[in-house]
Amino acid sequence: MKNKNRIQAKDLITVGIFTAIMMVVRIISSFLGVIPIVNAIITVPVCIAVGPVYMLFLTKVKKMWMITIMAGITGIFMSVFGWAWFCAAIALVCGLIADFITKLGNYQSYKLGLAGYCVYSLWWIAPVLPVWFQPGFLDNMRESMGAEFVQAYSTLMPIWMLPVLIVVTIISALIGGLLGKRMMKKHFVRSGIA
Amino acid sequence: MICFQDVSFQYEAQKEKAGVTNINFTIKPGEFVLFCGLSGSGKSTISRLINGLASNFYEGRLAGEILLAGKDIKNKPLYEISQSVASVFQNPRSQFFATDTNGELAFGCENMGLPVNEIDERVEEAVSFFHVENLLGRNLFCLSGGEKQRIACASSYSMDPDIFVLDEPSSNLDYRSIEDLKIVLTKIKEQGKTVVIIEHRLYYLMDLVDRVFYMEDGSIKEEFSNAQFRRLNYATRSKMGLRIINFNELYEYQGNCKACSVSSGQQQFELENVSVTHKNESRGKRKVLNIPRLALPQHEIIALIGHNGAGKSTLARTICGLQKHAKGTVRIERDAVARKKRIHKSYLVMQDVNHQLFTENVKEELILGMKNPDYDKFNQILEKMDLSQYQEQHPMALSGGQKQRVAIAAAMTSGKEVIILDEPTSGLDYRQMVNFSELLQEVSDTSKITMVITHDIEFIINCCTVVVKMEAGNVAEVYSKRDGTLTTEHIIDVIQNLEDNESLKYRRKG
Amino acid sequence: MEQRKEKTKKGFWLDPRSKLLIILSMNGLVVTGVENWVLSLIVVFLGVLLMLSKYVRSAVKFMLTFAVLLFIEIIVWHYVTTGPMVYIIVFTGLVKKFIPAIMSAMVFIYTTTVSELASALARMHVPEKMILPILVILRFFPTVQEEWDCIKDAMKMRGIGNGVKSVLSPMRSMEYTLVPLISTSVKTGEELSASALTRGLGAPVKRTNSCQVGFSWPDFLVIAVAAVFFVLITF
Repeated sequence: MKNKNRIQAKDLITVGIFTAIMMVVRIISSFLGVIPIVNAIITVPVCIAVGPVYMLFLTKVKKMWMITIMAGITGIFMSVFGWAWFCAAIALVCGLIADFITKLGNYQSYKLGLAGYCVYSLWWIAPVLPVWFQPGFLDNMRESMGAEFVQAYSTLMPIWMLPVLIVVTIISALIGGLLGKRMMKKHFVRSGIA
Repeated sequence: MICFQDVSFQYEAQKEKAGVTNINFTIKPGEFVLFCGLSGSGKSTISRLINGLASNFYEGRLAGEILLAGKDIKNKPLYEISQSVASVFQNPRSQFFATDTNGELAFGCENMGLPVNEIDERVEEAVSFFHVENLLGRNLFCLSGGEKQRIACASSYSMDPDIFVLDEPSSNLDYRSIEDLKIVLTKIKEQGKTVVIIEHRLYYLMDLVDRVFYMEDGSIKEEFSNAQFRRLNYATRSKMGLRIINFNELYEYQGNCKACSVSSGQQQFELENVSVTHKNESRGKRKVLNIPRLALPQHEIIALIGHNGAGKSTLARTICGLQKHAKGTVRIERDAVARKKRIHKSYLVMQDVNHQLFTENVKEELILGMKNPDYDKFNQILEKMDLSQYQEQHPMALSGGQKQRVAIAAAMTSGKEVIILDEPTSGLDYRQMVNFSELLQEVSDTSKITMVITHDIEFIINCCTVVVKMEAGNVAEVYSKRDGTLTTEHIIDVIQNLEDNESLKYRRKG
Repeated sequence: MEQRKEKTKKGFWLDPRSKLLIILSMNGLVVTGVENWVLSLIVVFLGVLLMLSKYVRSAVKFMLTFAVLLFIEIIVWHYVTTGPMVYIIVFTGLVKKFIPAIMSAMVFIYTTTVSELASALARMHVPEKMILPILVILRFFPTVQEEWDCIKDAMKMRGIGNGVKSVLSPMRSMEYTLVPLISTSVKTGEELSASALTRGLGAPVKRTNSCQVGFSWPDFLVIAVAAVFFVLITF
């Protein structure tokens, strides 16, 4: 008898496919989103565009760990591409929390799924954290990007920017989720993809 | 070997393929059985029931008993069933898990956890059995449709199954590749394996099948032995919606080819010095398309034929303006038309329809193309294409054949001057193909150029008035009904001899 | 069997792990200061790798882009010291640092087959549950690329997604773009799944990876060069 709660090969393939689609959508919606420092501003279109994909993914998620694995792999991919390694760790943690939140609703509740998505989206801010929390980071950046850039950047990113970023990300995620819901109703459910 | 007792299966999601009811049959070991019927008759569901996808992968309600070699497979997991049942699907592109041929050949055995040397042995055996040595170490994305299907068969074969289930394997293949597939199937049969095949195209199977099951509306309507099936005359089979079983029957086609009513021998669509050079990453530069001059008459239905890689798609894309680096001039009625303008004037219906459906219901989809919606014409097209009852449905929810019809209908409602279709009849049964031909003839009256890339001989004979044959990037010949060069015999001969070097080598090893 | 091994090893071949190491060594690039000459060397090195793998055109494209960005940064920088132009130049400076990362990724994606990656990951003792999704992603990329191209063409035909109309209604354009992309990807994924499962994927046995991978002298050479770059970048 199959154990309905264990992750099966079919689930892993689903995770792989949706991770791939999300990465592609990300790349298309924000060509610049890969640059770790600049990307904080780009979270808006990214979160909105990825929203429908994530919502669709949720309809296939019925077990624990799928969201976590998805987040983990995305984090690892981004880290391999030049984001600091702690970002992958944050991605994993955000994914895990999102997984738990979604699980609370037994993977059926739209609202909890949306909440999970918001939490998951927060990891996009991770690369910017060193600006405030890692001593010496700005000096490093000065070396690599030039003094003027750091100047301009610092004025844009005072410490109170962090909660602003968090709020902006959550709002974008909410919009993305709502867009996702609309697309689900209009397209995916009716076409049977969901 | 395979025994279905009172089997019924209904998909949970309504949008999936048709379910089946009250299926009863017994297939003996070593038999070669064909399931045929109109689109939507439930044939694919039978294949999914045999290989276990029906309840393990596609959710639904299953009733009855399915016995393979005496054992009920209802509660067996897929990986267990896969050890006795091999499946070959329609779409080569999404069939492969690996990216190279060697990886794909070993895939099944790897999943079984066999030790490496045993895998190597089995793969070697499959490779020599199917003569695919020349395909080793190649990138799967670069193979032709026929080559991909051979690899798919070899890969399944290395798992040493007793049963082979094939779901419309010839769908995307040209004549030569189908011949190769036939050789492969003959070998499998000679080994004593049981084969269940779902097909529209029947002619290549006539020497192989032992029994034929005809399905309609989800149940088996009739059963025939090979001899009985052959005795059915052409007219009966056409009514059943089935295609020809041998090429001689093509002569019985009256062909609904009307002589072109809007005579337009003078007005022409010309290509001058058109060439496309492909700077392929690994193979260097080569001219994929090289046409010094080609003049196409307007208001005729033009069939574009040629072996795989001959440049048909490239030519179509060039005419439509999609091919970015095409050189040369394209003239419509003497005026050269620039590439970007050609895009506005053309419509290309691609082979994979899923890329072309954008809206949330069929009605919207057709209106998307229309500049000034003409609702009478619109309804007429819907009816002719058998789509009226699907107006409000989401295009993606329809079956493959229905989606194709939607894409074609959208081409027709667009009213564009140049309409090109790439293999539009591959998933259509006989009745649908005839309807489509009729509709196409109406279209060719209004649009200037109507061109179809096709392998479908029946379709060509049914309604095409001009045939352009391509070979290695050049236009080899042009046949036309108008000047008598296009006859049934001629076309059959040409289609059967479309050949490229690769398949010639394979056939010699035989 | 000999035939099979021979055919796969002809030409220039690197173990997937070497390619991964290359990508990793580029890791530090983005956030640390690196002199232009080091950067140029790296780009040339990666360009050579791409060319050896027969992707000459891509190699040239990347190297050219890099050269242009470098040009903008060095030469133009001299003449423009104030105003908004500064931000643009700083920006191009940023982007040029990404070229090595992208190139190393391309080297990996273009030249690694799914079965090679599977074998390499298994050897690195990556948990099986993570290997499968990663393989699917690698398998998926070329397919998605093809599908995206087709969708773009279809959109051109229908006159949607470009021009003034689409900028005015971005939501609709996004819908037209995303829906077919997601739908076809999911459908392809389903078919892929079904096909893999009917060939026994998911059996509760340890999967064998029969693809031969291993280090040979090109790998050692490449790893050495990557190590040198890594040192240059970090210190």
